[in-house]
Amino acid sequence: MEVKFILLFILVLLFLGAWVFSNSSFAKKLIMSEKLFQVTNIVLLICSSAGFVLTIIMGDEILTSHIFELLLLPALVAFVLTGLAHKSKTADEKFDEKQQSNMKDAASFSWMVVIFATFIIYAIYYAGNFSGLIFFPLLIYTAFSAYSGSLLYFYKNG
Amino acid sequence: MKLANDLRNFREKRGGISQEALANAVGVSRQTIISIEKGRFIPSAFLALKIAKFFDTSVEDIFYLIDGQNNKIRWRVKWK
Repeated sequence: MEVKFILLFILVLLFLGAWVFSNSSFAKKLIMSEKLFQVTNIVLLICSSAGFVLTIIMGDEILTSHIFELLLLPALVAFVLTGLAHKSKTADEKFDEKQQSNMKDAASFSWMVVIFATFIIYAIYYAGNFSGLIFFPLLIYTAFSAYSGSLLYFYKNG
Repeated sequence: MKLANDLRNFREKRGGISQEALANAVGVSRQTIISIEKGRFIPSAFLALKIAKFFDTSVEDIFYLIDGQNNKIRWRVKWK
């Protein structure tokens, strides 16, 4: 339990830091960057895919061993950096129109995937094959993987 | 009807401006310029105008409509 509080504390510090330093020269240098956009989503995809696989393998242990939070943390750091880069910008400068269009497509796709995944996970749970505790990790990892994976695909190929 | 463009030709005619330089000039990512040139992404009117302004030409010189046989669709402006 202490580890969860430490991780939560780190998360709060990250967001506070992002808020405080959002108008700093460092933040201003983090311009709307194609690399930042891609790296953020690659990190999210890797962390959430790994989390999904480990949840299937480890079951409840993924929560008790705190791997769940540890896998989400790099993704959250990447998003905080993205938030820093975009906070002081107008809507048009946050993401270019292709990125916005791709994000909408990715959101629609991941919404459909999550609905389907929820059904599958519930069916497996109903059959008594795993405990309800890992519902949330499975769903969040599915949502993140589907969103970031499809966003990267649409960005490159759309 | 589909939208096509000569963006790549314009870049090459103007001293070989890179995709990145054009992207920075009009405020989008390089991937957006790549997708426009490949015909995978249709820019907004705003972006098309910014690109035309960058090349100091009209939007219709860069972007145009094509029919099913890839022929340019031309029309005459009847009233002004």
